[in-house]
Amino acid sequence: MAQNEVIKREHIMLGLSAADKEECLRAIAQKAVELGLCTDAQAAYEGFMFRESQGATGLEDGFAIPHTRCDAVVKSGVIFAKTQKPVEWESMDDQPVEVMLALIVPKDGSNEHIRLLAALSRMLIKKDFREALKGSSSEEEIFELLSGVMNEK
Amino acid sequence: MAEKKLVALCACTMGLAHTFMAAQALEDAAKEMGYEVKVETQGADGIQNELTPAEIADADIIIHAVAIEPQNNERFDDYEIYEIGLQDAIKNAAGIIREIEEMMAEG
Repeated sequence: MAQNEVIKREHIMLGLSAADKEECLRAIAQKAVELGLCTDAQAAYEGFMFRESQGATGLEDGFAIPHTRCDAVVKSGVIFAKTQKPVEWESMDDQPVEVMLALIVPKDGSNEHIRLLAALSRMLIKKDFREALKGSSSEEEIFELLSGVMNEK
Repeated sequence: MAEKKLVALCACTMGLAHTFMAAQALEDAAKEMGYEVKVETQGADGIQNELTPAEIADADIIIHAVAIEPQNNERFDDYEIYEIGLQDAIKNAAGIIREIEEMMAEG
């Protein structure tokens, strides 16, 4: 039940056309509003950027995990985005980013939802999980990978 | 000989992502290296998997991967703590544990 609230097929954005990190985060913030996770795209974007200003969220192998817990968020959720071309993003291996897993949590988000997102974060350190996500261009497959992690919890 | 024991505490500013990635990385690396491991997380869902005073006293290695001052930090007052960055834990947990082992060997 809970996993369906946090990740749905329509939370997956493939072939995102974005020139830089700012455009990626703007697109994700806009999507968050369309999905009913956030009330205000500009505020959500600023929420992501505030977190980036404290230390960028790039990982390794082209992954990043932007996140926000700002006032504009009304519902916990994950948005998965893949860009057409890698974009510049400060990361742990100095490589550009092409896969984003954005975590969006309201200030009063339930522990149950936070734990689902935590389970996803934990999986992101596993190389084979990253490779499976990166290697897939199927919305269905990516949805199964992401929701599978949460179902195990 | 009893199994080597490693405990760690992870806490980042927002408690959504890096806390849990660091915890998983330390758990995986420590297990791989033959440790019995327990990692406490202080994240947005509060304190999880809390370390008891006995577990802390019993540990061969205590690691803090934190970006904030952890809660209940006084539990660790009498012990040697290895403080590392969350990014280091995520990127290179095994290398860090090995470094700590070397430091301990040198006394």
